Amino acid sequence: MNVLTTTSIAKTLDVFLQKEDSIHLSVNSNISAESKPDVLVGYYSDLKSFNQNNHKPIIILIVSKTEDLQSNDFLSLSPNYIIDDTDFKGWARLIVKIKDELSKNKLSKAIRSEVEEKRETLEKLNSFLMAQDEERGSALKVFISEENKKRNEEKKLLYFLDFINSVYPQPDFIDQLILFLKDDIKKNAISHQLGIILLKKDQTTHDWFYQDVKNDLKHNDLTTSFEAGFTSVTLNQFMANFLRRPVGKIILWENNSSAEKFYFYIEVLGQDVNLTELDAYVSQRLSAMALAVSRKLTEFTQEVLLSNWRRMFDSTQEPTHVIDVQFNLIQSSYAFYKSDRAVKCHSVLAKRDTPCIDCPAVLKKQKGLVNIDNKNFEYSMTEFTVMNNPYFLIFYKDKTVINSLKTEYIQSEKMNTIGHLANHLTHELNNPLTGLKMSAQFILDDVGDEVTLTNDLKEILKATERSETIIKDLSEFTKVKEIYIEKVNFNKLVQKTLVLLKSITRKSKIFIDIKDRDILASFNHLQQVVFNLIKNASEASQEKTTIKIYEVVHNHYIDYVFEDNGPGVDIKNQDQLFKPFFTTKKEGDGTGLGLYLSSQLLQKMNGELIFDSTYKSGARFILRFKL
Amino acid sequence: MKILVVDDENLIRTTLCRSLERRQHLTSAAQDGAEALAMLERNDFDLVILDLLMPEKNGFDVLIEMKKQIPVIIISAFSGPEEENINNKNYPQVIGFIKKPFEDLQKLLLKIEELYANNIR
Repeated sequence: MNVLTTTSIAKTLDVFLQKEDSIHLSVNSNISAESKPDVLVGYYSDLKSFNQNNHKPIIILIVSKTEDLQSNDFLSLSPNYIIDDTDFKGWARLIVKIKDELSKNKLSKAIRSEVEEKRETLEKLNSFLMAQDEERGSALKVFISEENKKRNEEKKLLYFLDFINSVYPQPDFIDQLILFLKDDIKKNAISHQLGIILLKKDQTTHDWFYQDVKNDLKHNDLTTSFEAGFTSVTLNQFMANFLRRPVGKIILWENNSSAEKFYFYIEVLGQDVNLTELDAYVSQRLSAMALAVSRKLTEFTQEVLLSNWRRMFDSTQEPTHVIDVQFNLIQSSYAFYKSDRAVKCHSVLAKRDTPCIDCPAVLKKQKGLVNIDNKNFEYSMTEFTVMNNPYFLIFYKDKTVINSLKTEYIQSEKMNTIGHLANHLTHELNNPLTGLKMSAQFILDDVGDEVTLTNDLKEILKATERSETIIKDLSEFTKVKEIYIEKVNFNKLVQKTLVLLKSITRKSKIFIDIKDRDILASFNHLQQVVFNLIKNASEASQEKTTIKIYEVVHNHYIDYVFEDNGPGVDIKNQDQLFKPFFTTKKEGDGTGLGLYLSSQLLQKMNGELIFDSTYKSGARFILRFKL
Repeated sequence: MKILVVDDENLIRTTLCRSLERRQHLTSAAQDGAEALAMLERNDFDLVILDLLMPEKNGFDVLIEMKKQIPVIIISAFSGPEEENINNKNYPQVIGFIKKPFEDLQKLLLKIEELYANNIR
């Protein structure tokens, strides 16, 4: 610290400030401002000339008691300290104090400036760090936003897959998919049209699903061959031809993960499209789409095939089964197979607990004959394997029916032939018969009164008349007519029919108790029924049978009863009596159609053919007519 | 009248002819269609009594091929679809159809004369 003072003061101060190295006393008898001291000590008279303009030291004014200073003097000098001139020690003490303070000040200044410096550095560091922070912050933000984007995309993808999963079972799945995509893609591109094309590898029909301009969902079966597949350009051309309108830009994606070539396309009309995003969107979804759509179409085909397969079974009249090695019915033309429990073929078809001995699945024969439940069947068997399990597809043809039909056919042919023969016969017989009759009559006219001759001729005439009747009856009987309901005298009908049955009834006794009465019936056909009943009665037993035919009159109906004393009808056969092809005779002897046809004929005539099971002494049949 | 009787059955021919002659008619007989046509050609008849089913040419053939417009009475053993066609519309010469066997000889003769008489009118 520089202290400037006068010589006299300096001497005093020097004594007290010897130990103070840092205080430098400088003396100037002429204190001026040029020396720039830190402290200025002196009397007023020494100090007043000090020019304080540029530099204001700390001024210590020494005053004596005798000095008379004015307040103006103080003002002009503005000392920092005033001290008595007798207090020498005080002078030194003060200066030391000032020195300390100054050095303190300096120190504090230095510290302050250092602090300031440090603060500056710190601030710079801070701002640098902040800048770095910001950089990192923004990088992080970017990173986070990208992660979010990715997550969003993943979410959307999952949502899409979920959509496919949940809508897949519905029959209009593909339509819904297209609508979904059209809507979902809107952020990336507004499509004028959007569609899916599948080109099947081994077929000529391909599927094209799209949503057209009017927002209708369409499905076309394309039959043109597209072996080369599509490009954006070729698809554009194809669509322009097919849809008959100009087609905008086509953006096309292809996928080959399924059995077909799968194409997804959108048509955009003159807009800018965010291609990268759109591409990313579609590519993520393409495989899932392709597989789902392809599978759905396969399911459709499979359903059609399956329903055809099932329909085949439902529509066959004759037994048709698929069975496995354990005779379980897998598929059958019998409806019950659809029950949950496994049903055995032999229990259903043959009504057995164990498999049939000659089962085609056991014998592994492709063709053969079996007897099932007393019926004859011809079968065709095919063995096939599904997933290493053997199955048997067996068709059964009921031979009994065919045999009966054959017999029936032969019988009807026979009847036709007999009919023709009968016709021919009647004509041939009629001619000589007419001649005979005419001659006899002629001679009768001639003979006059000769009695014996007359009687003989009359006998001849009677014989010719009988012959005539027989021929007429035979010819009527063999005619096949339409049911013609008219008044029929049942008594006369029975008599006529008996004439025809002479050979059969010769071994039977026939009792008839019928009054003359008209019923409404078809003569011809009723005659057939009566013929049938009487024939059956007489053939029921080897021995001579007695046949009774009588009437029972009721209020609103009349019963004509045909009774025989034969063995009757077995209880177990009774409910099959009027069924077609039912017969107890040996095969070939009778068709089993007689009673069936008879009951049908009666029904057509508004009558009834009834079997009376209460009659135990033989068989009793009733022809019932309304009155 | 002069009547031609055509039938392949001998007894019918002879009896009919003799009965008709008893009633003062003149008769000729033919045993099949060919003979009938030949006789129709050579002679004039007032009436033909014609059987349908005969060997050689049958009654249908005669109806179609006979040139002269002579009334015909058909006699036949049975009726079938062909016989149903034989009526006055299809064959204008046919004035009657009598079925064999005949009920009664006398009635037959009367019937024949009646049909002819109606036709004249």
